Amino acid sequence: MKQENHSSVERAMQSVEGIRRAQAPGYLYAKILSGVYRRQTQTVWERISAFIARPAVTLACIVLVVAVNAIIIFNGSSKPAANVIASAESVDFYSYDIYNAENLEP
Amino acid sequence: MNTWQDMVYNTALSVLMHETDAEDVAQDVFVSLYKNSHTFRGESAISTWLYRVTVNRCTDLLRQRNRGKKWWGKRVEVPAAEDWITFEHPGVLAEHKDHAVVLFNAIRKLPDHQRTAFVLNKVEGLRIVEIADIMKRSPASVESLLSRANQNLRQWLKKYYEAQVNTQ
Repeated sequence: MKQENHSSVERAMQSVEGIRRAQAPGYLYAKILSGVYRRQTQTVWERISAFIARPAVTLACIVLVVAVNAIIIFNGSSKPAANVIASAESVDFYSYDIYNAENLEP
Repeated sequence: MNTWQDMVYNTALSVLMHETDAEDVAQDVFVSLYKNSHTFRGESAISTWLYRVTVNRCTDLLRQRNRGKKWWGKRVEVPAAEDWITFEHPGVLAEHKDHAVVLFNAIRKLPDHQRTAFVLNKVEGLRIVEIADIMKRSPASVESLLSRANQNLRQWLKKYYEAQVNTQ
């Protein structure tokens, strides 16, 4: 039984001995030409959109946008004191009571 | 052109074991050749370049299928990994056909590099030095790949034939 299995394995391994090259079907040449022609007639915009639609490019753009947003958010939140001062100044400026100020004058 | 066409088609067919996929890969490879013809400086033989692009495209396609990849709405149909295929390579001699079907099923189970090296060596009949050039590896590394491929194939075939005997 073991011998039989061994010979089957060997026959399977040798089954590609003397294998000939598979011939491409006759229409493949026309198919290749149509692919090349499609490539030739592609406009610049089609090529650009095809480039942008590549998964790697799309992912890179998304990562870039997220990174820029994150930088802006974290940089913005790291300067709270300046904002408080600015808002305090503006409140002081707008709440300045000109009538009271006049009354204070001797 | 016909020689190259057959060469690319046969390689793609032996790796993918699917006629339509092999045609698509062949079309893709020649469009790529047209696209890159201005950058092609003849540093390596054109046949080497064609082999390299063909095996890379085939490997990419097989990886996509194994992942069951769905990417931007472009769905690739996924055959189950354990599906038995009855692929008959048209160049196999008639008396070897039955065993070749089993062997090609075993080849499908090989890791990518081992499968590529085995197909280029046994089906395309390339020498180790040529395969090394195509796969950008050293000849010793290709020899090692072929040895491991043979070992894995024998193991798989042994298990297969043992299971066949047990089911009878």
